[in-house]
Amino acid sequence: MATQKRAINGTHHAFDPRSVIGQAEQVTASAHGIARTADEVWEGASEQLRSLDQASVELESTAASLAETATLAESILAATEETLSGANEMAASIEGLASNINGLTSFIGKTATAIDQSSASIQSVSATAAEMATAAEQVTTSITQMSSSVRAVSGDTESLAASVEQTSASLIEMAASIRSVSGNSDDLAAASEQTASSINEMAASIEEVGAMSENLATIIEQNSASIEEMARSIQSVAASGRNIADAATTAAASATQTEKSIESVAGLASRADALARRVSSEAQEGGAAVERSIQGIGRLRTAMSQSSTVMKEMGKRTSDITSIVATINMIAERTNLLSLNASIEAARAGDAGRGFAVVAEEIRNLADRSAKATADIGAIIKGLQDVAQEAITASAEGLRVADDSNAIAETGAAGLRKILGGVNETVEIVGQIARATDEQRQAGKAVTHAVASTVEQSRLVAEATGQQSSAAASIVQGTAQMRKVAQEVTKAVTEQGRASRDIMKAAQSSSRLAADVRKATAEQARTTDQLTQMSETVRKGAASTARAVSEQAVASEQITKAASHLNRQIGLVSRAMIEQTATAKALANGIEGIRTQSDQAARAAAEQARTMKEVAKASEATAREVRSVAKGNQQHSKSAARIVSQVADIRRITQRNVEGVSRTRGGTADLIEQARALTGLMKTPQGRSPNGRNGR
Amino acid sequence: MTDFLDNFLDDYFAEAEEHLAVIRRALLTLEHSVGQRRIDGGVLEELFRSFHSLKGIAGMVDHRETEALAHELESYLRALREGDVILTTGGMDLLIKGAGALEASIAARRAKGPARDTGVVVEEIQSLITRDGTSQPAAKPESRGRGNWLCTFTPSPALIARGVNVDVVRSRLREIGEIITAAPMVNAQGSVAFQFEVSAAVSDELIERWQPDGLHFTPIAPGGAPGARAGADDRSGSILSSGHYVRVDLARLDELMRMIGNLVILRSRLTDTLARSERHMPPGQYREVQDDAEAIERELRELREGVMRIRLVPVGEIFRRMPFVVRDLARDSGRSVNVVLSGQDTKIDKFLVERMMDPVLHLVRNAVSHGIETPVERGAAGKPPAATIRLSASASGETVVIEIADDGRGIDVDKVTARAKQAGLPVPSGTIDAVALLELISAPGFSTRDASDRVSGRGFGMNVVRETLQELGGTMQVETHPGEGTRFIIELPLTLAIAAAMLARVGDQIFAVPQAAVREVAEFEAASIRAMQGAEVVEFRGAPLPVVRLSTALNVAPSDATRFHAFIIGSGAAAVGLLVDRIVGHREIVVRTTADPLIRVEGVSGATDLGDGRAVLILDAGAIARQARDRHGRRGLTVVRGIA
Amino acid sequence: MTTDNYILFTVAGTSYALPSQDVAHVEMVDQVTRVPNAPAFVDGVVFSRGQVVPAINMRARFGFERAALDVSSRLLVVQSKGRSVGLLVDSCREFMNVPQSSIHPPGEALSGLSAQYVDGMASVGNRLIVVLSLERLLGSTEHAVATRPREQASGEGHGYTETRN
Repeated sequence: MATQKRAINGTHHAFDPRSVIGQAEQVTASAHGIARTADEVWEGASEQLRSLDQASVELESTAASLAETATLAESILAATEETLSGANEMAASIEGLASNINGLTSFIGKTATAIDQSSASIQSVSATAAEMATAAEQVTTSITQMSSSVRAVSGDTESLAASVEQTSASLIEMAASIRSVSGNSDDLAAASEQTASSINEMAASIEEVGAMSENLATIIEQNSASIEEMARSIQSVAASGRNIADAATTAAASATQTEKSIESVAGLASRADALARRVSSEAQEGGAAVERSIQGIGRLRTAMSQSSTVMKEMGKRTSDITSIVATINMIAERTNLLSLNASIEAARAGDAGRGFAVVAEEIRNLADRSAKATADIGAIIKGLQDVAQEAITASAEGLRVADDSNAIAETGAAGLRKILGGVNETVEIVGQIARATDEQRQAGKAVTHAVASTVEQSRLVAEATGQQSSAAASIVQGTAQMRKVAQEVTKAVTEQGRASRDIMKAAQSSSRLAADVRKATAEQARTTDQLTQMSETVRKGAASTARAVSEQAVASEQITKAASHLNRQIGLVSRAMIEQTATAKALANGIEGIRTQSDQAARAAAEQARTMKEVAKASEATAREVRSVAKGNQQHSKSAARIVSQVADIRRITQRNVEGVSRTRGGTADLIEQARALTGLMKTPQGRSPNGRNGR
Repeated sequence: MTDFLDNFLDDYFAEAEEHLAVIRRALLTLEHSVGQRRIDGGVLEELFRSFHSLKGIAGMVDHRETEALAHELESYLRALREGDVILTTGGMDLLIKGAGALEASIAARRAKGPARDTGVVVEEIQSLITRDGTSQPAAKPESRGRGNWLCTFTPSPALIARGVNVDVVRSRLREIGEIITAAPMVNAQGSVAFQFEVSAAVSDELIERWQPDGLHFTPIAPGGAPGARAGADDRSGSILSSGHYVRVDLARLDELMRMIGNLVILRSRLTDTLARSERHMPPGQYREVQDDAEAIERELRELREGVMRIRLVPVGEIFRRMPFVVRDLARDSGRSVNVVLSGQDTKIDKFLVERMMDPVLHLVRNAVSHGIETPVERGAAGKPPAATIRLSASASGETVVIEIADDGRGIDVDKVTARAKQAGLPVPSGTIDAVALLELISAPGFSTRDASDRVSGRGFGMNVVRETLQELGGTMQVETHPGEGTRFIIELPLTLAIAAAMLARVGDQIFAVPQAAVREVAEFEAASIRAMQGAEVVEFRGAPLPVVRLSTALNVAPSDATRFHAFIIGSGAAAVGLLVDRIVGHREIVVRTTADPLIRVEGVSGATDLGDGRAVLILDAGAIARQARDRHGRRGLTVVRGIA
Repeated sequence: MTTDNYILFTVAGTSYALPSQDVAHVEMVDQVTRVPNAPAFVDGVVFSRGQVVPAINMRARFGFERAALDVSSRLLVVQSKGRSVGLLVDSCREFMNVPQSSIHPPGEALSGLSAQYVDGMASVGNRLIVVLSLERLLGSTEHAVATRPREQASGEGHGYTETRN
């Protein structure tokens, strides 16, 4: 500046009045241009001020939104934890169910063993088992399908993540582009500095403006970085929110699915329970019938045994009678024999034995009669004995048959008792299952409810985050605009400075030499060239800015693409969800078949448990995300606060700029007045010295 | 006739036999008193009682001829006792003759033959009393007018049926006189009788008339005859000399033995039952009962042995008859013979004594008739005129050996051979040894009877001797030396009625084999029996032993046993083994003979009752073995003794 | 002693009579011990009142089949010439007084084995009774014994193998 001043002073001798008048007119024109520029700067600063005000208002609303988001995130956290605990509880319950089902399986196995003994029962059980197997297969298929769909979801999520990554990359790119914009801005700032330095010679206020503009640029830079950081953070929060929403949706779907599954299991369990109870009651009825028949057989047997005993007793009595008859017969024979021998002896005794002979004969007659009578009795008894023997044989046969029947019935009863035992155990276990399923259902409902609230909260978070995002975007936009304005201001200020320097040079030349005016004008022209050159540089910077914006647009395009990809992914997820739903339906259908569902139910329960674990995992992820959201929110809040204060600073500086520009406008008006006065001087007395320097 | 009377007769014969035995013994003693003034009163008393008792019992059974003879003998003895007559040789002969006649008359009655006329002997005695007597016999109480009478009333069911009882008798006796004493008595046979001593006029007609009513009158000498005082004295006369013996019917001993057998069987059943119920009884109680059962067994064994001992009687019972027989025969045949008895106290089963009486008698008669020379011949041969017949008996373990030896001329083998040929009997060629000789003289149809064999030839030949011995399980040998004499040696089992025997099963039947015949028992495998020369042999103690299957010999369905028990009969080369299925026991058996011709089969000597009333045949192991030897051509090879 | 008293018994459906004085007693019989080599009509021996008596099977004696012993079977113990012999008969239940006038000599109609032992025929009421002569009956048995071949005793002849109780 000192050199330029000297240069101007050097040209002071070669002053030409006409060229001074031309120069004065040129100065006036330049002053008018400066005035116009100052006006434009003022307008930009005012605009900036307004923009800052608006940004400040939005920042405040963002801060409020962030606080709200934090609160929501906390409640989400709470809901998620609730969900998690619900899911854990349910997982435990499902595991209990699984073990119950395993128990059921083993008992059903036992029951099956018991049922083996009764063909009818065996057949029905084996039919049921077949059904169960089918159902199990269906369930397995469904689960597999579900699993694959989950895998698909996972894949989708990965693609989602990839697209997010892409988005992030795009954002980084965008940030880089912004940085390049910022670099351009730096260039612009440098140019501004050049301009500022060119108007170094101008009023201290211009210097001051320049310094303040630099200061402003720095702050804006800082502010911009913070905003970008926040925007990024907000983006990540938004991504997290989406993830949460996705996870919550998945969890909700899983929960719904689980609930449906549980419902169907519960329905099946209750049906199984009812069926088992019916089987039990029928088995009991059968058992009672068998018992009755056993009792009947027992009574029959007792009766037969009694009759057999009576028969035997009769037979024995008959035998006794027979032996008595034989004895009587023997006695009769002996009596006959004795009487015969007595007769022989009596005959030997001659007359002396005659009386005795008569008695012996009488005895013999009696003996013969009794022999005949006993023979008759013997014949009768023989007949009786035959009949009794037949009866004994028949009753023994009857007894044997009764014993056989009894044994068979006892075997049947024992089999029935075993079946009954198995059925009762089944009933009990099925009851346990029903109860467990009921508990599960309640737990599932709680989970569903919690998950639903999670989803709701997630939605809210997503919404809020979206708002934040858009706010951030507008902030970024505002910042960009602000930066542009700042650049424009800097440019204008630089132009002002150059003009000021030109003015000073002209004024110096004017003041020294009129001849030097031309030279000064040439110098001015050169300066204008330089200005033009500088404008070209500005234009170049704008172009580069535009290029950067275009690049930004490309990045946005990329983001959009990524978002659409995301949407596609979400669609895929949705389709996967639909598939899952369908699968769940299939699962429900499959589970519909579960009747004596041992293995399948166990697998379903295991699947449920896994799903629950996923839910829990998702919930945990959600919680983690929510926690990070919360953390992000806190950072946002801090950033927002910082931004607010910075914006306040900017506003203050801008205010001062406005004031400086106002003063510049006043100086310029003075300059224009002096130039006009100078022109007047030139036209009338020549010698009047131009007091351009004094014009300040 | 009723059983009652039959039994009564049996008792009568048995008692008569006792009295005859006493009489024979007493007469032998009395013989030494011939010609003496004073005679041993004890002997006379004994004889008198026996005749008196005989008279009484003969009267009871209505054997008048016996009664009369006994009466006369009694009278003669009374005369001797009173010293009215002196015992002369003729008197002694007459006593012996009278005793023989008594025996004969009783034997005739026993054989259910007609009554023997004793009138001749009675008259002889009466005349002897008259001839020898220094006074009339005092025995005739005033032609049976009023005097003291012993009236015996023996009630019987028949009499009671006819209204004759002791009260009726008492009143009848009161009608004819005065009852001095009245006492019931128990006969040896256990029946009750009543003795009344009455003072009354009893006519023969009355005695006859009341006879069927069981009333029997015996006159009592005024001074009180022995045995007339009281029934007890009379009873003592009906038993042996000592008052410590009772006479028991052999059949009752058999019965007793049978009952003991039953007891033994019952006891062994008790042991079985006990063994079965051991589980159900407290050990202490069981042991007690078992001890009792064993005690019963011991007592039973002793009882059985005791009963067996009861059956054993002295061989002297046979021997004492012989002197009388010899005396008669010697006198009739003009020979002088001394009979020397030894070993009379050797005990032998009562049954054997009875059965051996006739065989011994026959051998003694044979000796007198055929063996002993006349005194002239003896003198010529340088022998003492009086020949000697020795009867001796000795016990040798389970057997009793009886020898009848004479010092006569010996058996003339040529004469025997000639007579055998004459009778158409097969006579072995070559030297006739003792065994062959015995075979010849024992053959049925062989008889050496000639005119001089008046007494011996009562249809009782050597054949019967042989059969009897065979029946009794005995054996006989003969030793004869020309000019020196002949000796028959008879071996008999100690007791036949009770014998130790082995019980053996053959097919489905049990047989008893007397242990005396069995040398030892052995066991053989059926496979070790080999055929040899038409016979079966086994190797036993290093030598071939011929064996006989009893199933074959007895026509019993043979069993398919693979092992046999065998009874080894005989020794050395004569040994034979009798094969049975199994020896099932060893016990003492009560032997009953199988005398009837229908069941007299070779190889069976009798039957026994093991206590259940069933008959078990007793095998004559010796005979079966002998048969086997005969069949197998070993006849007479080395048989030194043997009834064959 | 002449008597009109008879013991009646049956053998193979025919009634026979023996004079009561020939009969010692009648007894039941349940077992006869076989005696080897005895005559074919002798079943064996039995104990009768402590005595061993041969048992002649009257059925066999008269040429009939043997019958099993039963409750009505009887052993008539007869006595003849000091011998005691048992006759096994189907039954023996009657003691009867048969007037001599009703006994007629055996007619031509009667033949067969039993004919030679018959004393006469008695008709009592509507019954025809064969009156036997014990002496001839036993005499013929003795004859049978006497003519028994010697070989039979030694077991080489045709044996006595009928089944008995």
